[in-house]
Amino acid sequence: MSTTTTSQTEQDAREFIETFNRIRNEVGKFIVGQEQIIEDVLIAIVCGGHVLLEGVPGLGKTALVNTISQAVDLKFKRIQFTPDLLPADIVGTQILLDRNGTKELEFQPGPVFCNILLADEINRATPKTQSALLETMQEKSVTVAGETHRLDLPFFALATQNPIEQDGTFPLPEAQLDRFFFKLFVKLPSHDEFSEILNRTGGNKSPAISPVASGQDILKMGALLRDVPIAEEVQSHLVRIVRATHPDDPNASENVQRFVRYGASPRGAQAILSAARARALLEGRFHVATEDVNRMALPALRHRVMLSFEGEAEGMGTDTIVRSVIDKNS
Amino acid sequence: MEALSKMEADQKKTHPVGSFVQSVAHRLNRHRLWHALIWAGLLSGAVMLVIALCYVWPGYRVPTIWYAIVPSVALFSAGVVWFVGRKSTDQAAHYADSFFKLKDSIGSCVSFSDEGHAGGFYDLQADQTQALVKQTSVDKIAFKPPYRIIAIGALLILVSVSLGFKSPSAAVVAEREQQAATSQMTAAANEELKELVEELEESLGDEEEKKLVDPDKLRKWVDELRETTDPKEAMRQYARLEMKLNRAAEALKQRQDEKLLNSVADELKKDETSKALGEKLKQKKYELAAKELKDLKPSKIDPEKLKELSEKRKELAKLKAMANRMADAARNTRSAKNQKNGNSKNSKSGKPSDAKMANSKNGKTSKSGSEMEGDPSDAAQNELAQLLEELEESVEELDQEMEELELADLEEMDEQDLEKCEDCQECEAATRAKLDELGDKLRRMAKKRSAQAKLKQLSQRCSECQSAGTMLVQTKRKGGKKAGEGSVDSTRDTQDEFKNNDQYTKLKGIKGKGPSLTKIESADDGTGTSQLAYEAKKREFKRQFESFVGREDVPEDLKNGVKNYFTNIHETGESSDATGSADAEDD
Repeated sequence: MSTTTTSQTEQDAREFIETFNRIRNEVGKFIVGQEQIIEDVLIAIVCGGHVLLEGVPGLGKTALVNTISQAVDLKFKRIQFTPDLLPADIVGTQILLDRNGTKELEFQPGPVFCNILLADEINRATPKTQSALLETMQEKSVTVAGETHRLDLPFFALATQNPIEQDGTFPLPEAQLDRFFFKLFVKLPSHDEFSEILNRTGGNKSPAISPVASGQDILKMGALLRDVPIAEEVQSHLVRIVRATHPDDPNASENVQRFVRYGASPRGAQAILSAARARALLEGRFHVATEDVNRMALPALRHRVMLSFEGEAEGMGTDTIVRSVIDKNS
Repeated sequence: MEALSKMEADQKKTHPVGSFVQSVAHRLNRHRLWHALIWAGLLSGAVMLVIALCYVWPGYRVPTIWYAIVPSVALFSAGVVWFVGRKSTDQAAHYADSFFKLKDSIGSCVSFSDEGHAGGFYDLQADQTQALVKQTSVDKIAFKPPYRIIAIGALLILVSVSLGFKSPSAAVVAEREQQAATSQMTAAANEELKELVEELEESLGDEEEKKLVDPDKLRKWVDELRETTDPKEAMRQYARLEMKLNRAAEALKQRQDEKLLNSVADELKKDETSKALGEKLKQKKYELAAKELKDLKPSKIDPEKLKELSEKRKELAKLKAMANRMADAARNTRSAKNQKNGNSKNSKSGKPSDAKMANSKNGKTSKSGSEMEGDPSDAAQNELAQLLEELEESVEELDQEMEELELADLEEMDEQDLEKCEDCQECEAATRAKLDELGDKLRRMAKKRSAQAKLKQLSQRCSECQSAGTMLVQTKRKGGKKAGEGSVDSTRDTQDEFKNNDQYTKLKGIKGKGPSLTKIESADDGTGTSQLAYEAKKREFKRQFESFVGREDVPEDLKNGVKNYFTNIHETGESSDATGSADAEDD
């Protein structure tokens, strides 16, 4: 019987890798380069997390999310966040309907009622509007007029931020930032990638994206991840890294002690663990290794470390701090 | 049943991994042991080289025991370090993961196995790890000998071992020989001194002499001597003992009494009847002189044999003449001293002391306070002089009483005559008592002289031991000093009995008048050669002698000859000093 379980697990792991690679390859038909970003986004999706993409306009952030939604055949909605956007515009509202002579209030679901939500330029909306996403991202439900409406699973929110044009923007509060699984920086493509982008999108025809997986596949992959074992010592290493982002921890690096106000929460450790499991499986291993933890720590922690005034004044980046933590504890 | 089979299946799976980890641990520990041994060799070579240089540099031979101790300690330390730092299974697993780049496969497998996890991913992980382990080999974990460390360690060991064969230098050999010789010499000298002290104690006559010499104290001083290998320390201890003995001998000095008795002897020799006694006193045979004085005691006056009074008076005349001479000598000595004291005071004030001059003419003793000042020997001399004068008075009184008694009617003696007889008897008893006292004084002086001689003899032997030590010190140095240069290594105390022996000139002026020159001289009483100059000369000769003996460029025979010469003149100087004062008087 144990042999059967083992072979089933092995088969599931194989399917995981195959499905993941299928989605990745399908997305790669349209999106040029950005392999790491694609992989990290897919890992976040598989782990049931939300991603914050930061990059200058025109790098294909929206295209990426759109392509992924096509590849996994999930309902995709896009919200362009503006300063005048209201929470009801996101979650939905109740409208008064005249039906059979009676006036009734009926809930009209907002754009969040989808599987993949693209919150474009999320930092342009007011904090009130931004906080409307809080419950959605965490609970995967919406409460309007006292009534909770559950979202269809899987649900992923991929938000984008523009690092330029900071005027008139509202930085995301720490509580909301902490709800993002990963924060990824979308960089400018290389010369060859630039050329390829033009080749693919400059003509009349653009690559067609076929759905290669379903939402159930994603959920199944997410469930399988939770069974990937992690050794006591590797887990201890993970905890050490997360704790070392706090300035009062004995393992904290000099940068952390000097430039960090608050470190990462246990949610960050959960994100790292899930992502490390996914990475281990993708590499064909059946256990989480230290290098998986080290690799996934940066995207999972960079938005969870709050800089102090000195850090901000020095222009210190959180990436530098997180890397110093990983290096010190490796 | 199912659980047991599961456990067996788990063990089967993890067993290869476990044995692989064990092999890795074993290999790592073996490598660590080699490293420990190599470092132990290097460190022991370095330590041994340092130790060898510490011995070889000053010229000593390296003791062989170090070549056993240092490597043993190094090996033991290496063993301890290895044992403490042995790799555990976990550490071996991590090392294998890192070395073979297995990404924590082995570590995780071992961890899951230890925790008892099985099934699902755990089995897959174990199988995967097993497959990875099969592809690797423990032999790939090669031992890389630290060749540089080995080379340096071998070189250090080689150099340190070669230094061990180096013989001690000639200086060290000579030093050891000198130490052995010194030890032998001090042991022999100490034994000899102990024997001398025992012999000295046996040679002592009565309790009084024992009290003067105090052999217990001498024994204690000799017992404090130690057998030593340091020649200078040997010299020092003998010099200290010699100093103590000299001080003890000095405490027994009776120079003033002997000087007075010399004067007395010179007076006695002027007369044939007392010449023999004078000779004995001159030769310092005080014991014999005391016996002769005993023979001179007047016989007891028997009232029934008063007819023999005239005979007795004739016998007494001899004694009287002797007593007169002795008293005269005492008075002359004392007056000369008083005159000298008076002259010294006059030189300060510029006026002669009339009282002093009058006293010197009368020959009477002056009991002024200034005469009672000075050394205790002066007091002793006064005591002897006073005894001689009292003897003279007593004899004269006896003679007078006998003369008066002779005039009495011996046939019919009345009460007055009987009283005279009694007075005569009293005077006779007093005279006998004075003679006994003088005899006792002479016997004590004889004992003191004997004790002083014995102490001097012991001191002489100490001096010889010190000289032997000096020769041992000289043999240590090669070449010696430049001709004409000497060295003074004497540790003797250069102080002598004359405290105020400075001679200085002071120029001072009296207000309103011109400057005056004050010159202060001090010298001992008595005529003849100044004792002060003699002592100064003695010190100078002593230093010259020590310097001469200390030089290495002078043959030993010559040194011994000079040493004997100075010893002899030292003795001659003491005896001639007394002779010189008598000769001066005669002139």
